[in-house]
Amino acid sequence: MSVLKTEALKKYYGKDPNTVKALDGVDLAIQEGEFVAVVGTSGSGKSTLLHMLGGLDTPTSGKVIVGGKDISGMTDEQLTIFRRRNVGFVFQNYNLVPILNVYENIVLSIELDGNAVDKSFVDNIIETLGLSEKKNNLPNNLSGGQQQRVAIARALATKPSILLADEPTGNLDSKTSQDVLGVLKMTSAKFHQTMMMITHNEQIAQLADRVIRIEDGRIFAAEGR
Amino acid sequence: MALAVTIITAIAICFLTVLFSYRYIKKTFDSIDQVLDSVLARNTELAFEVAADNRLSKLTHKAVKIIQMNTMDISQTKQEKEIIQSFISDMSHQMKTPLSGVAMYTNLLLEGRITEAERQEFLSRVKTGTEKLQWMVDSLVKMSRLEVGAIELSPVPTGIKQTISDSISTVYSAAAKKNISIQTAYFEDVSLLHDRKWTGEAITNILENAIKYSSVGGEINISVETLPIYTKISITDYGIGIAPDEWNSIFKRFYRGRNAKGVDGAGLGLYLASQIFQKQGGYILVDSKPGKYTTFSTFLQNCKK
Amino acid sequence: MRNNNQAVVRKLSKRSFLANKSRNLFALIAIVLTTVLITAVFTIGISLSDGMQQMLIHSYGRSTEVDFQYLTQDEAQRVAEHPLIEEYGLSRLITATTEGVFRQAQGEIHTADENFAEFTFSKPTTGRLPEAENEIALTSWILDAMNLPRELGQTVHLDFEVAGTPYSMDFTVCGFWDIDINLNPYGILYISDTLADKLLAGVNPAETRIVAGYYGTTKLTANIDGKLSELEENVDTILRDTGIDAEVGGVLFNDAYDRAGMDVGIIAAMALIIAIILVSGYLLIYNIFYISVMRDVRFYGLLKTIGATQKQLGRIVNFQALLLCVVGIPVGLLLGYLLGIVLIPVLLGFLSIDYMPAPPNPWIFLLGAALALVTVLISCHGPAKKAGKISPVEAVRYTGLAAATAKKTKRGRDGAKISRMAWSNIFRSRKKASLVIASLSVGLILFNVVYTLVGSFDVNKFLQGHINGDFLIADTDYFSFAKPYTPSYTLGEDLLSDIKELGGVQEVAKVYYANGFVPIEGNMKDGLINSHRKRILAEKPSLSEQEIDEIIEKTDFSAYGDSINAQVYGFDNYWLDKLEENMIEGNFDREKFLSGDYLLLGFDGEGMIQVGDTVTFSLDKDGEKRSYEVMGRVDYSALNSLGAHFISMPGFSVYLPSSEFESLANPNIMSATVIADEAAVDSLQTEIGALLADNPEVDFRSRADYIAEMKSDNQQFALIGFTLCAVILLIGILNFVNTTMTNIFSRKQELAMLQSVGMTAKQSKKMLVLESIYYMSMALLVFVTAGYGVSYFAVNAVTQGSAAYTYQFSFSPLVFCFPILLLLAYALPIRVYKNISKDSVVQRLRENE
Repeated sequence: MSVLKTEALKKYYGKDPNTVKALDGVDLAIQEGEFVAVVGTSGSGKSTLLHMLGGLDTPTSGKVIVGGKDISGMTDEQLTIFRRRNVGFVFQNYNLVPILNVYENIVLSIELDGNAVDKSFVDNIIETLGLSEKKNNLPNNLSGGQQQRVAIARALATKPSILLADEPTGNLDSKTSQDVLGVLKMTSAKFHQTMMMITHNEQIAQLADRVIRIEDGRIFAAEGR
Repeated sequence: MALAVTIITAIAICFLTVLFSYRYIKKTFDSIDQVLDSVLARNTELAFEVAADNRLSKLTHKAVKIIQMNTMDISQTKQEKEIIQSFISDMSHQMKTPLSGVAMYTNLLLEGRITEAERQEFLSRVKTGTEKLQWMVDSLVKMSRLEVGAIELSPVPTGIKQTISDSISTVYSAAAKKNISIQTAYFEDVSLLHDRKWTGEAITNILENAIKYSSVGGEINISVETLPIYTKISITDYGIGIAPDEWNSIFKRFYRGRNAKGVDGAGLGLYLASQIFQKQGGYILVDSKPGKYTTFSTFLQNCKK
Repeated sequence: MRNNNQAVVRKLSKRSFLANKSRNLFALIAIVLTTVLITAVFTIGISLSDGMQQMLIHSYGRSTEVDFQYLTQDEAQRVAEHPLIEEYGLSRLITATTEGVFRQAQGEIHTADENFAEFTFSKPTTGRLPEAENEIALTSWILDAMNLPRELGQTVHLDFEVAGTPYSMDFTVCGFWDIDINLNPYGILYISDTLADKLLAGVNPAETRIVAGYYGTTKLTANIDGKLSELEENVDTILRDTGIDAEVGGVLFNDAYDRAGMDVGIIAAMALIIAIILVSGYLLIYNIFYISVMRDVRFYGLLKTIGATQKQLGRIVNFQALLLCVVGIPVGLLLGYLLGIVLIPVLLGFLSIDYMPAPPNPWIFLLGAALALVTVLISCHGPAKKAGKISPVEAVRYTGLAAATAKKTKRGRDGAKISRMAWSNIFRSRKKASLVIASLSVGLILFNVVYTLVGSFDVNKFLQGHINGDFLIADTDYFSFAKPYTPSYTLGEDLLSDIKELGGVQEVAKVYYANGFVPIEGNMKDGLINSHRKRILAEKPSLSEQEIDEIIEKTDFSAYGDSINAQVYGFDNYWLDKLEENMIEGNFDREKFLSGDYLLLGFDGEGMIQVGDTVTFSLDKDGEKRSYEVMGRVDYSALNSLGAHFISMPGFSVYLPSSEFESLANPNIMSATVIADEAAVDSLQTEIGALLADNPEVDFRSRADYIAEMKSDNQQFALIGFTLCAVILLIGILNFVNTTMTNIFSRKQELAMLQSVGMTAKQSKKMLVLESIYYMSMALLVFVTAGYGVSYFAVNAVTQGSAAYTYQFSFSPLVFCFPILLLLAYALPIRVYKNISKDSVVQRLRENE
């Protein structure tokens, strides 16, 4: 069953004659447990695609179906709650909450929904990501790679339908990048987590089960491993 | 008089409160009941709002997830079956060519009317073919067990240096034949979580590849680097290289690179290696400049302290 | 059913709170300031009103809700026993007398029990109520008037009559208390019940209350069970049950309670001031939180991305505001109350309102806290909503620039001049800009108003009401308000001629005074009857004409004595102009007036005299009678400075030329006004003082004295006004400082970027200073236009009815404000810029937080 599906997805900005066609009719489907990479140059629409899939923005036309639910017509409030329960995000600049420590950052989404934290699961994630010693640190006390790992842990903690990563290694040096990349791949497999990664970097994309290329708001040539 | 009125009003209020509370609780329970019914019926189209900030919505959302998990399990079993199916069909497909070759040459031999030289030729071809088939069957069996999970790798914390040197020894003769030297940069032995036998085999496969696609008299460099979560073992050769658009594909089953036409191989080595590493929570990355170099970086998880 | 996710929101709120120390400080100060002001105003207003109510009650003479004035003893008993009566006091009227010292102010002889004395504020402060037959307790001024020392045991002689029987008795003083003669111009004497019984033997109160005299009637003053709103109803019940007729029994409700609640004037003033405070406070607090939210856009956007709803984000903001209130409001309440308490006496001195201190009214704190809390919550509502509406996409990409304005293009001229950049920058956030300007303007406008009002104090206008000429000489009693003025004959002609001789004295203008006795006959009597008729009608409106006539017939006007009091004033020629100026009826013919056949009418409370009537009176009790024709009526309130302000009821005041007095054997000169050369005023001060040194009974005031007095009043007003001003201005400045600081801080990256493309530090500073000066100039522009406009209208409104103020335009507020504020606008950005440019350009560019 598709965990994530789009049908004729379009996102246009602005008005004629200055319309920017960020996404111009995108159809894609991601299966459960897949690790997908979306590769494209800057301006290709890959970030917009991620925003649509994650419910951060609403499409101009077309459908986005996540976990069987069409989110294209949801209100701001509904999208927020939908994100809370179904999507995990990893951003290029980590975006951790600076006033919370590592552990609190990781369980934030869970707590926002008033759920009890599955301690063993969360501990498992923390251990897998090598953060056990840093549980009480504040983000400004961590290296870039560590911060990104915290972000990944946070994204995994709610067991979302899909984990969306936007240039996850963009702010890291090459060594740390490889490290973090491995973490993404490994956790995807270990926790059976569907993952989609956006990048312009071929090196990173190779690790995915499937590579989708996007250019000028359209998809072409989806390859798989 | 006023007292009586107050008491009656108080009682009335109490009564009404109890009544409304009861009705509210009943309604809530009925809603939960409905949700559970949907779970049982595997019906994801629930009448309740899934994305709202209240308890009922949370409940509904979790119910949907349960349903999905159920369906997933079913589909997972289906998937596994499919994997096996495709595997078997791949296997039979791959084996067809050498088999038909052996069959053809055997026929020709049985027919007679061939020269002695031809007979020797054909017999050796048959031998090669069967050897190839043998090798293929072995690999396939290994792979199948690995794929389907019949064989479990047993990773233990043990030094990687030994593993690497074992691999090097295995391919040493092949390397020597092409006059290729294998250099290992110095590194502190580090204890990694890995299954020595299988990991060694994986590294061997990579080295074999490196040797295969390197020119005579070349060099192969091995280096080890420890990162926060993983340790990277890099194997660099200066052979024909691999084009970027093939990077993702080379680890696929039976894939043979575009530049690999003239070289022996079944397209299984890298696939096997990749599977072995992944099963141990590691992975392989490739970086290459066609015509210049190819580096395979293999990653294994560090031992947790 | 609501989701159970409050805990995490609270955690985020608390952490966010701790991470925002500087904003918290600003916000706390703002909240405290606003609360202080609100509380101070409430304290002043409510305490004042409470006190005034106390005073009002005092002025009505009793603290109880209702009086049954003319009961028989039997009726009084019945009423006293009625269940609706909560508490009561009894007093019997023996008689009233106008003999001797009671000439000007009637003396009433009563009995009284302890309760009654307490309820009517007539409990002896020294001594006690009478027990023995010959004991008497009385108001202290009676002793003074009789020239007796204020001591217990003194012998007091009284002449009076009870229902026709005359008595002349001596009493021993067993107790006395003070009373404000201005509030209650009569004397009270209490005798013992035993003596009262003797004196009232044979007197039937049931009769006397119908006919006249009220001898022996019992007054029962009481507080009734139940609410004030039910008072009338309850009293009706009592009357029904006891079978007493309301009119006959003389039921009188205490009007002091009718005016329960606050004076409308005070409420209006309070409301206005509080409105100003609230607006200022709102602007400031809103701005602080708005800026804070904008600074943390990424924080809120991130939370939104992760799944925090609009409501949750809003709650984070509101929770922090509430935390600040928990500390800020109590502190503000306390400080505000103290400030108010300190300011009350100052305010009172200025307004010369009579006041009695009242205990702290809890409403002050309740209202103050509630209002402050509401203000804070409303102020936060906007920013909280803004935080909730932040789009996650925006925030994740946030680079530090404020939300784009609607403008899409901008005409460029001459490239990028610094001054133009600065000007454009102002309008980047129109909302912020207008908030700051508004906040500053409120304070500045208020400053203008207060300053103008204080400066509009018109000395001459004031003095006109108190003193003409340069010095006012009179008997010491004239200047004191403790006793009514009685002719004292202390100003002698020789003294006055001595003064006239002094160097620099142009003229000495005298005012004579005498008590006139107008026999009750002729049109006097008619006038008196008319006024009595009116009074009866007012008290008992249900009576018919016939019934009223009957009562009047039975009325023994001898209760008034045989003559009515008149205040007769004699004026020197110097004063004639003033009299002419203030005529309100009739024509002033100088010659005729000086002829001595005419008089001018002043106060006539009962409407007894018309223009054209002939008034006959004698200047001594048994002296020769004179008649005058009434030439016209003068506005007596304009003659205050001439001392023509004593009145008694019933009675009237008339004005004669001084010639009429000079013919008397012993005329009483009430006051003499010295008009002198300006140059000689100072020396005369000492000289007159020397002359009067031997005359302890004569005192004098100079113009300067009154000016000083008024100045001090003015100063007190200035104190209050400027304090209020200062605080509000402070709020405005705080707002300005906060905005400027955060503005510059949030543009740290942008400024670094400018520096990296070549803008020198000097140019950066120039741009920032220009921005800040543009802001300030706009505020000052509003100040000049709206400020003067508002102050013109406001001050004019006040001065219309004021005796001492005339609108005066002044440049001083401008001169005062401009340099200081412009200096601030100049210095602040430079300081802040220095602070943020400590790091290198690269470091500042790299920062993404």
